[in-house]
Amino acid sequence: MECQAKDLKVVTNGKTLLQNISFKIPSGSFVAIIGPNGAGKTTLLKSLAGLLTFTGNFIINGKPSLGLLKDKKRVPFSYTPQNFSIPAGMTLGEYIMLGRASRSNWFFGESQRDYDAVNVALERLKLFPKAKELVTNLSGGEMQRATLARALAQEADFLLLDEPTASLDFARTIDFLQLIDLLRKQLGLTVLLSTHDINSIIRFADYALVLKKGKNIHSGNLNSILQKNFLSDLYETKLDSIKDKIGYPIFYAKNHHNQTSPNSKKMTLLESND
Amino acid sequence: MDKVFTLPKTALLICIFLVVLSGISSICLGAAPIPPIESLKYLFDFFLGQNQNPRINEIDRIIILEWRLPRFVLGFLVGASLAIAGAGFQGVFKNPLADPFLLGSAAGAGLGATLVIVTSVNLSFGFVDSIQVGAFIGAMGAVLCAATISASAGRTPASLLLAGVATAAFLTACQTYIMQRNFLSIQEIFGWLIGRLLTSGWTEVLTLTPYFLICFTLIYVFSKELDLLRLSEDESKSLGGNPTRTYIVVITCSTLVTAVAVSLSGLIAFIGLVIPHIIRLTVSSSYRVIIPLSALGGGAFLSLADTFSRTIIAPGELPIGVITAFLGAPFFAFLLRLSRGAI
Repeated sequence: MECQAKDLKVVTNGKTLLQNISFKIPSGSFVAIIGPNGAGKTTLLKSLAGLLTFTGNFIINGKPSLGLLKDKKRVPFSYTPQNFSIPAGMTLGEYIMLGRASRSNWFFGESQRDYDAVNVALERLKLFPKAKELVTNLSGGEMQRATLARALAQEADFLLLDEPTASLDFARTIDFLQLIDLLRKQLGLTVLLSTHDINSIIRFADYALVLKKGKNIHSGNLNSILQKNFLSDLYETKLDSIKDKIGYPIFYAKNHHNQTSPNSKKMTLLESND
Repeated sequence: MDKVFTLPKTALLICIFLVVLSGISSICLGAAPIPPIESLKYLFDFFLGQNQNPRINEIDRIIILEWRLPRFVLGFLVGASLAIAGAGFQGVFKNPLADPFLLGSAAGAGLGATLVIVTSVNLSFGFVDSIQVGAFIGAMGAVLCAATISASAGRTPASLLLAGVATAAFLTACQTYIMQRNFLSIQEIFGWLIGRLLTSGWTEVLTLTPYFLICFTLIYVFSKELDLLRLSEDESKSLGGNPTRTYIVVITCSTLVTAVAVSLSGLIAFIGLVIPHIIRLTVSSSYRVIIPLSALGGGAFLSLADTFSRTIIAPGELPIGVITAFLGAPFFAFLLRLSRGAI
């Protein structure tokens, strides 16, 4: 589903958190929302999810979006915050079934349709064998997949993920992003994911929304922002880059004292260890 | 995947068995020398429309039908009310220490009852006596006071909780002062404070039943929302929950049913805190299981405790709050030891 924002503005308690946000995202895109701390990434995701009130227009497939909670029959967005709860005593199956909460019957509970959706989500995320385990016993990576399974169980068209890889190591980060990309392609989802990890996201995302101080300073093809001058201005620090074997750039902050690259720094550390 | 959030049949059957057991023991046992089997037979005959039992005289009939039976039903309703209110508060405030008296209703009810006892003011209307009316007004007044203070401090669950603590501390201080100035009434006041079930026929049962049914239904309907509240507020909202509506409905229902229950039974502590935890530790942590099983378990537990309280030193009676804590605390401590961080 294609979505388009025109002049979105978010004001909370008299403070303007976001303004002049305009973008157009093609259906099925993998969108990286990037920007320094306090740029408004979380605010933007929450606004799109309907958790914060905004002014301006947000249009999905030519129709104004009613937000997350207004249309119970078809949930357009699934939002996963960066700091999700891990409730004590709750099994993984129960946790993922909460993704069906807005659809299941208030008094009589879940239908077979709800169980089917949860089973499919568990299978896709390879979590089915752990359905009866307590979520408190899952590893960080499994828990991150569990939040994704819960999002899939909502059967939404858009996945809104707020820094989902912030607590994952290098390998789990790449695995997780790969998984999101695979699901996006298989299910035709549009993914909007905020992150600080530019070096990882450039392998998967195809579109970038760049925020700074509550404003959208750039939106477009991800490759268009992969320039060290642009990113240095964005993060207000000197950045440099090298290329990996495949050709993806790897950005790093320059050491202000001796202007060395990561490789020479590594060498220095190794030498000192000897 | 197996069914989730559904009532496990075994746990449900055990709770129903406990209710039946508590009912039979409550009706068959007591200070009056009626053979337990005859009591039970008479009750079955009565429900089948056959009132002819030569071994049961008119006095026995009154003891069984107008005293023991309503006392069992009242005990069940009070226990069930306190347990669902405790579960509701624990869900809304995400606090394992939450109990039905969290927002000051116990302190308010205690002050109301104390004032009525020491001043001998007549507040009775209909079949409801003055102490019950005073306790109800005190409980509702205390919670409204806490809600008013909370409203000026941001209307968050945390501010309501703290306002409840402040209100309870103030009202308890007032009550202590009044008791200290009226020491001749202390025994009567303590007798009420520690809780007891005294019935005058079916009046108290008919008073509590509609409140219990309405509040139980509403809290159960919102149990799915209570499960969502176990997540963060943003997650809850993003999954279709409405935390504000849940706070209002569950807190209102829990407060109302607690106020009516304590006005009839006095301050029976422990049940509202512990029964939901026992269900949580032994059956499920989902409120869709905790709420109905707490109602059955709390009702059965209080009825059994009441039978103990009036038979153990018959014809005298022990305060029921002593029995609930004396029997429940060791069992709960044992479960807590097994839980290993599950609460």
